[in-house]
Amino acid sequence: MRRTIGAVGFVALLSGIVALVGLGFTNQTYHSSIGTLRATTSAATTACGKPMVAQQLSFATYADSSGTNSAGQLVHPGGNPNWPSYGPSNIFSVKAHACVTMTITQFDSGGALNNPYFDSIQGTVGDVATMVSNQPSVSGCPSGQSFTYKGTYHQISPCDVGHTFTMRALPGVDPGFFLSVPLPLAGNGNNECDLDSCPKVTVTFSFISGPKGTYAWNCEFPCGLNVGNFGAVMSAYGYMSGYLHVV
Amino acid sequence: MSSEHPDLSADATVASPPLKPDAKENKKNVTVIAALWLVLTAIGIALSIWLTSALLPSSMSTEMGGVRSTVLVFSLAAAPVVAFVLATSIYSLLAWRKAPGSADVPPPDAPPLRGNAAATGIWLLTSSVLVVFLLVWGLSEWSAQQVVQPNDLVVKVTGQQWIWNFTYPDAKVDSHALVVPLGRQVQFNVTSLDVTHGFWPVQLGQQVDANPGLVTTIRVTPTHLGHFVVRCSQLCGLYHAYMYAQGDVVTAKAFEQFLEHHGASAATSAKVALLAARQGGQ
Repeated sequence: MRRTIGAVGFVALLSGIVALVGLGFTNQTYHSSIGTLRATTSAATTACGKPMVAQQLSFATYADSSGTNSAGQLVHPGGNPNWPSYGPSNIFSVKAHACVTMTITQFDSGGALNNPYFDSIQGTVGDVATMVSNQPSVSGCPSGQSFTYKGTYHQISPCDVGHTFTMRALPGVDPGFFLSVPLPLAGNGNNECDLDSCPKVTVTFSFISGPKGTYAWNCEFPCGLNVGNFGAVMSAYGYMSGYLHVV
Repeated sequence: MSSEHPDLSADATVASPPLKPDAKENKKNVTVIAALWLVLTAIGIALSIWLTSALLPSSMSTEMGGVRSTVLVFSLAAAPVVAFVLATSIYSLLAWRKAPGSADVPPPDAPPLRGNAAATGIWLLTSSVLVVFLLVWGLSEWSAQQVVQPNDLVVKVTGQQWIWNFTYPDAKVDSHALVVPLGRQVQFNVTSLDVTHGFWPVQLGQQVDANPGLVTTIRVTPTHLGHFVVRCSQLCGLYHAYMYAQGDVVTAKAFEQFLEHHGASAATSAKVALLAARQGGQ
C-alpha cells in the first residue's frame, strides 16, 4: 500500500513539475515597462491613393537612450548611456488594412552599412519616403563632405545611414510583408543631443498595414558593439527593435 | 571461521536453473520472440512509411526527394533491428521475471555462456551489411548532389541579424525573397555579416551554415512549382525565431520577369534617389 501511494505521489509530483514548466513557457511574454504607442486616426477617408483609414504614428531615434527629449520625457526607461534607441516606445499599434504614415525623427549620427542591401526603401507606398534635415549632415565617405537632405528618396548612399526601420510579419501572419526604410545620418558624427534644436533628419513614409497580427521590426544598421557591431544595443530587446501590433 | 553473512550456497544450489536449458522450452521461447519480432517489424515498417510522409516537409527539389527517400530507407532498415531488440527485451521482462510470491532466489551466477559461431557470424554479417548499405547509400546521395549542371544559377545568400537577403550577381538584382526557376540547378553561395547563421530552405532539402568571412556552397534543383520557406537553423540571437524569408519556385519565364522587374526598377530609382537625396552644400 505504501509503495502504491509512493508511486502515485511520485507521478503526481512529476506531473505537477511538468505542468508548471509548461505553464511558465506558455505564459512567458516580454512585459515591457514601455507603453504601446498607438497610431492616431485622421478624418481623411482617402489615403495612400485609396479609400481607406488614414493613421499617423510619430517617433524618433535618439543617440543617447539615457537622455531626455524635447518634451522632457526619458528617451528610454532605464536606458544606457551611449546606447542609441528608438523612442518614446518600441511597441506600436495600428489598425489593419489602413494607410499608416510614419514620421521618424532621426537624431543620431551614423556611418556605413555593412550590407548595402539596406540602403534602399522597400515596402512603402511607391517605395519612397520624404526627408528634411534642419542642418547639414557630414558623410563618412567621402569623409567630411556635408549634405543637406531634402526631398523624396528611394535610396541613400550606404555611407550615410544612421539607422534603418526594417519590419516583417511574424510567421503565419502576412508572409509577403516586408518594409525597410534607411534613415539618413544627422549631424557631424558626435551627436549626443536628443532635443529638437539638435541636428536631425525627419523622414516620412506611408505603408498599407496588413492583416491583424504581430510584426517584428529592428534596425539593420550595425550600431552596437562587439561582433560586427551587432552586440550590445543591437542584441538587447527594446532599443533598436520592437513590435508592431496590427489590430 | 565464523561469518555473520548468511550462507546462500545451499539455497543457491537448490534454486539455480539447469545449466542447459530445456530444448522444448527453448524452442517455445524462440518461437514467441520470433513472432513478436515479426509483428513489431511490421509495425515499425508501417510507422516508418507513415511518419516519413507526415513529419518531413514536402519535397520541392531533387535533393529533398533524396532526403525523404534516405530517411524512409534508413527507417525501414532500422525497423527489424529495433524490433528485434524490443522483442527480446519485452519477452525477457514478461516471461522471465520473478513471479509474485515465488520463493525463487536468483542464482549467485548466471549459466556460463558458450560460443555460438553461427549466431556470432549472422550478427556480424548482418551488422556489416547494414552499415555498408547505409554508407553506400549516403555517399551516392551526397555525390549526386555534387554534380554541377551546365547553366546553373548562382545566388549569393547573405545572413545578418535577423534578415536574409539574396543577390543574383549575373542580373545584379537584390531581393529579400528567394525566387528560383523550375528545373534549373541553383548554386547558393552562403555567407554571414555578423554571427553564424544557418541557411535552410526547408522544402528544398538543403541546409548549410552561413559563416562570417567564409562562403559555403550548396546546390539544389527545384522540381516543383510553389512556395517554400527559408529559415535560420542556428541560434543567432534576439530575433532568431523571426529570421526567415519567403521563397518561390517559378517557371523560367516568370523568373526572367522577376529579374527584369527588380533589375530595372532598382537601377532607375537608384540614380534618381541619389540625385534627389543629396542636395545643398558640398
